[in-house]
Amino acid sequence: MSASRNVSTTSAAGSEYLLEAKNVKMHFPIKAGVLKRTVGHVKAVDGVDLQVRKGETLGLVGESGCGKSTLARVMMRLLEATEGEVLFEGEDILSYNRRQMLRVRRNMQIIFQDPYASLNPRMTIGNIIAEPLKTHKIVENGSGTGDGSGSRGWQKRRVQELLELVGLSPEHYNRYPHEFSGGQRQRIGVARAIALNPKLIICDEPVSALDVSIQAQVVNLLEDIQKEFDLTYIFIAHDLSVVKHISDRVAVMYLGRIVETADRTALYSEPRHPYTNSLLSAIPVPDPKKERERRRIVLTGDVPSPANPPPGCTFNPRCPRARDYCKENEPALEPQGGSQGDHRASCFFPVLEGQKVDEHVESEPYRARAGE
Amino acid sequence: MLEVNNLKTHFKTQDGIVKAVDGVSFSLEPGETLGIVGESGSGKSVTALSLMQLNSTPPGYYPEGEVIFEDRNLLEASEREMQRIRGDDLAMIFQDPMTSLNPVFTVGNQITEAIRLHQEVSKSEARQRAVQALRDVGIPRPEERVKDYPHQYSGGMRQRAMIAMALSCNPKVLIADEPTTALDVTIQAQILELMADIQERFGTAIIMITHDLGIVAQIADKVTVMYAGRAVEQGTTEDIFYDPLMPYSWSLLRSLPRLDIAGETRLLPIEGQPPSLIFLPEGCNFSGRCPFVKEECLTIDPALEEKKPGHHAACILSVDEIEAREREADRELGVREEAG
Repeated sequence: MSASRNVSTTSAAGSEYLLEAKNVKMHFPIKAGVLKRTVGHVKAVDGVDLQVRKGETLGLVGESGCGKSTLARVMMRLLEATEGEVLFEGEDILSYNRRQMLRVRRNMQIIFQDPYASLNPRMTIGNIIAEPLKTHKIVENGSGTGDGSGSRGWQKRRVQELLELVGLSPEHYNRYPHEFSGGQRQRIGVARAIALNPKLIICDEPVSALDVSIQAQVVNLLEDIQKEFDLTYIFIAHDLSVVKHISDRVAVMYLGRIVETADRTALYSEPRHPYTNSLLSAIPVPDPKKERERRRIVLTGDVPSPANPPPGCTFNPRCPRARDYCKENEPALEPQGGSQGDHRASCFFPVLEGQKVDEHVESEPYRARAGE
Repeated sequence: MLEVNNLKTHFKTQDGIVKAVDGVSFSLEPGETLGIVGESGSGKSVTALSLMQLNSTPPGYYPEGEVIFEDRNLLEASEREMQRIRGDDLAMIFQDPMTSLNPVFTVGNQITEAIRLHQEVSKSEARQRAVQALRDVGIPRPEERVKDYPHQYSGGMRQRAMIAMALSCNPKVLIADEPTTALDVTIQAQILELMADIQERFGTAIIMITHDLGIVAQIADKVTVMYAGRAVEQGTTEDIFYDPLMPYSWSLLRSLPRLDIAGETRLLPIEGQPPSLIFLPEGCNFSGRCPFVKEECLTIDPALEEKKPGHHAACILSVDEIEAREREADRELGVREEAG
């Protein structure tokens, strides 16, 4: 293993991190012309260091195109990283061969955003949920040996148990995905993800396609299951309210990089990076009085293309605090003083205490009666 | 200015009649913003399309109701009249700006076409207005960007272009159907700011259709909550958010994770699914999912009635009963009450 700047995570056994990304890059080539020559790269993920502790929920937020889903796929090795290391329980899985990878995948599962596209319409629910059991040849005692035959009865019982666990009826075993609503389909996705008793589940926008009332059902289910099976989650979403609700720690991405990471309370109440601050201030909250009194930062312009990111700090063209210095120098993700825990942000001129726009959001009480 | 009375829009399908909109009433004054909220399938988009007469008929038909705009019932207007009214008086913007712009014409072409359909102006005059319209919605370098095709615009710019097109004939009412759902929050903030700015400058009345209660809280003066094709609660924005008198509105507010509240409260999901619009349950449509359901709810279909001055709700429980049940449930959820 190469010498690492991060001293605390060098030994495999003593690692407090379940998953760790070190300087991960994912560049997609842009091909053009008849000869399909590479004319440039889309830097979807451009040097990410990220640690996920055992048993925690790490929220990963950012706007569309910021690279959060790509990062998740690289960490599961569904995409081959251009550069960097991904350590799962201290071992670099990017150097694993197929067989080793298959073993590791038992411990890392994913739930997708679109409950319509992620379930094969020609398979019954029973087969969909049993598929991971078959792929990994899981038999009764849970070990991964055996050829999987003769355990059909056990598999069926296991699937029915899983269905019940996610709030569906075991009788749904023989039905097809089209017979279920969006929320129920997402429950099926959850059942499939926990079938192998994984250690880590990556939830890639699991509730974004659902109506608010159904969204709460699935969020509560994910919380219950995490408690019951001691799971670690990476929860990817663009909705900062959902992430705030479910996460212990949050990482904010912008243009393929992590610009701020902190525990939940610190990030939401004392954002250091101007991007985090403007994201938080852009979200309308369901409280008309607060909305009327609110000050918000409205960012100008759009997110630049990841094929051609601006020089210096990538946020500088949209940043309300940017100075000339930001156009020439790249900030690193550095610890921020003043707040407890490992609060890191990559900004030369971070938002300091008392400078946060939008101070009065985050009040205690809920119910302010009108006109009383 | 605009008054909708007991609007019903039904669709004939092979499986039966889908009552997509089944009795919705509201009114709108110049410069006002009405928020229509509801889940997918609650009939909010069909309501908007009915105002514009954009539902395909058949299979759709309007068994009852009227849409009065400046003393005329639009449901009885001819297609030719409607073509004049659309754009001139009522304009609409849609959720997905990519599918509502034609990819083979330049943005300028499309705006000019809209202007020339409604106003007797020369081509170059229309062109100038298109540039001005793009400038009004904050497109940088509009003289050049007017020649671009939609794919050369970003998502936020396309939605701005849509708004520019909708506003090019100075409509009195702008109907926005989930205009920011496909956009990122920072871009959403830009578009909402733009809409508020336009309303202030031109006095446009806005109907904002959305599932996002935060957006409603931000921009609406009054709110209609829809469930299974009906308006189930109507009132000022404060009424709905601080004193919901229909258990559905209350449940929606409690099912949201809140950015603006410190500490942890467990989300209160609404159990089950919305009912099928073909086989509506007997009694209250919400009875199957209502946390405060009583036996009578299964047989009595509540009408929208005035519970407090200007505040309507469709629930058989009395105001005192609903408020007491909500308080009790809030206490259980660990929600504190603010005095005054």
